[in-house]
Amino acid sequence: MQAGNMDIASPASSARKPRYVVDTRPLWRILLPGVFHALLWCLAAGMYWWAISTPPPAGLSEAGQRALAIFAICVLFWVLSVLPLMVTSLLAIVLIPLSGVMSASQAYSLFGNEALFFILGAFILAACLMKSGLSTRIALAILHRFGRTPHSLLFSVLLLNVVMAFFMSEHAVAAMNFPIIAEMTQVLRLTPRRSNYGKALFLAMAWGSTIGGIATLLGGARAPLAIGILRETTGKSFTFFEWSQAIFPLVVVLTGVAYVLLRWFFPVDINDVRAADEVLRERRLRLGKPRYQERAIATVMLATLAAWILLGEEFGLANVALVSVVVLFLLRLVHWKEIEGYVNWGVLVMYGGAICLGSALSKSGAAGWLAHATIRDWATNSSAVIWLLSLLALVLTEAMSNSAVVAMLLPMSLGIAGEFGLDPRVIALTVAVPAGLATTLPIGTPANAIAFSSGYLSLRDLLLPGATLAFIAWVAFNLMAWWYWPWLGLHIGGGG
Amino acid sequence: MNAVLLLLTPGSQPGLALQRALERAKESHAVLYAAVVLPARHLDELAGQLMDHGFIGEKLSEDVIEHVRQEQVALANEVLARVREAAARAGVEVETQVIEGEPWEACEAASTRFSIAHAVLPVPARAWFERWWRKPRAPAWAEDLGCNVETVEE
Repeated sequence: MQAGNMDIASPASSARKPRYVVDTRPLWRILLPGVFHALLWCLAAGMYWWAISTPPPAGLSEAGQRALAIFAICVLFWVLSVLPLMVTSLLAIVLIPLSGVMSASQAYSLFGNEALFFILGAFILAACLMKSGLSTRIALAILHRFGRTPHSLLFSVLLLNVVMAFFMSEHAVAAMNFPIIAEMTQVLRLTPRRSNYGKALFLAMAWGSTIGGIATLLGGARAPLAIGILRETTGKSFTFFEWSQAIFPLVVVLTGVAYVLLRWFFPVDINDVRAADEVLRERRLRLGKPRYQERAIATVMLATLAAWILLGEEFGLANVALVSVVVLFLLRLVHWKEIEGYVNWGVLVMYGGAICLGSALSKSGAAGWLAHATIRDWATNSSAVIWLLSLLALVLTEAMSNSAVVAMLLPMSLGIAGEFGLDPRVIALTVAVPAGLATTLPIGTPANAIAFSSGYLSLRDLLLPGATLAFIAWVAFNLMAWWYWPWLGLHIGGGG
Repeated sequence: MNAVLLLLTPGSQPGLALQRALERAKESHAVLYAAVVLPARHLDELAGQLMDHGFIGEKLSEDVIEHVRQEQVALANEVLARVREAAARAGVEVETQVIEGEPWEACEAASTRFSIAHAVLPVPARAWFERWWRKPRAPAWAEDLGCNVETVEE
């Protein structure tokens, strides 16, 4: 017997009778959420006032003390999400000249940093890939070609996300592949929360994009941000190839480990994936043959990649990226209006502010002072610094934005490089790479949040497997730093 | 008309809770009102995370949110189909609905048409060690329902 039909109701639109609810919670619990942000603002104002009204401690200049106060406010706001990340960065840019740490022209000129324009170019190129449908076509082709059995389909999903995140933002990769995986789980009739295979597929998507995202400068904007801060504070840098060369072994190891962990924690509980294969075939048929636009964009992308690797040092990564963007527009392959919806312009404000803050900390001597006062007490030699910083970045990124972790940790960490005889480039890798490896919590990275929203995973399904992968990633990262990096001229040995 | 309210989430697998709700409905000759709540707040949070932390463009962010929503609606429909099947087998009159909003809003929507005599809420099962010191707890809004609220661990 069925009394009614099923439809989706929005209570806001349905007829309501007056409703009076008596809140019976203790008064402090009712008031706290309302005053929490106000309290944080008061705390920030108090910290700032304290910094400008008290004499600086020994070894720290007045400008350094003010830069530290601004840094503390930004960390507080980034960690507790008092303001959107980019607005906190704007606040930093405003406070730095107002406090006299830097002149306004110096502070604002840091928006001209090459890293920012590289990020801009890379995001526009990725937007072209998505808008043209080329990225979806590649994903469908790979899954259809290799995903014939449950195990090979699972590995294909993992590998596809890893490889795609080499070329575009890891978050965009997860967002783009989610509908394909969701459709596959539906046709395979996998039961939410119970199907191991459903859980494994969504985790493969999230982990794959996260692991792939650390491999190149295109997988996430935190690597260019780290290079921007590194160059601004020490004058040193990485080429496109050098960065990937230093990270690639870790990516290969983590891809293998992730696959083993997925099969270990979620043993495959289906025998046949033909229905999913059929969906992939249908989707490919709907796309038709590759159009001129897709082929031309693919050619430009490959040429850009080759230019980044071969000519990046000579011509500059940002120049190569922006020339490619201009070529796409010259060939009328894309229109500005189409691009606008795929690029989040807030990224430029966020990273511009972070680079400005990093520069202020470094030039005022605050970064070195802070590093000396904190890390120096815990780390006795250069290896311990690497172990400690990578662990800190890995833990922090599970609870906050990975770019915020880089913006927060890197300026301070660079301050200690000289003291232990460490190459500052090693420090940049040590902070930026683990900061991109959030695998445990939905709040850690959008890829995890997307996988969690599928309804197939419980928090428990993310926690233990994710923490295991994160721990292995940390150990593997440190072993790589110790054994492999010296071959590339990145030495971590040194005095204490 | 009396109704027993069964509140579910998309992707939930109501076993014991459904059985209990059917028993209550049968005992009190009431309609079983089963609602799956799609928490709009979660989608807003996801959108915020995609835009603010992932720096994903507005278009892609909207697309993925819409896909997540569709996925949740599809899961909700599957859950409610199972509820209708079970109710038909038990000979209980049933009404089902997918509601976008908060759980208490689903209660409110139900109470505009029925007198809610009893509510059954599935809650996550406690770990074995939690059973020593924690009771299964109904969410805070359940106090406002004005009826017996029964939590069933699943």
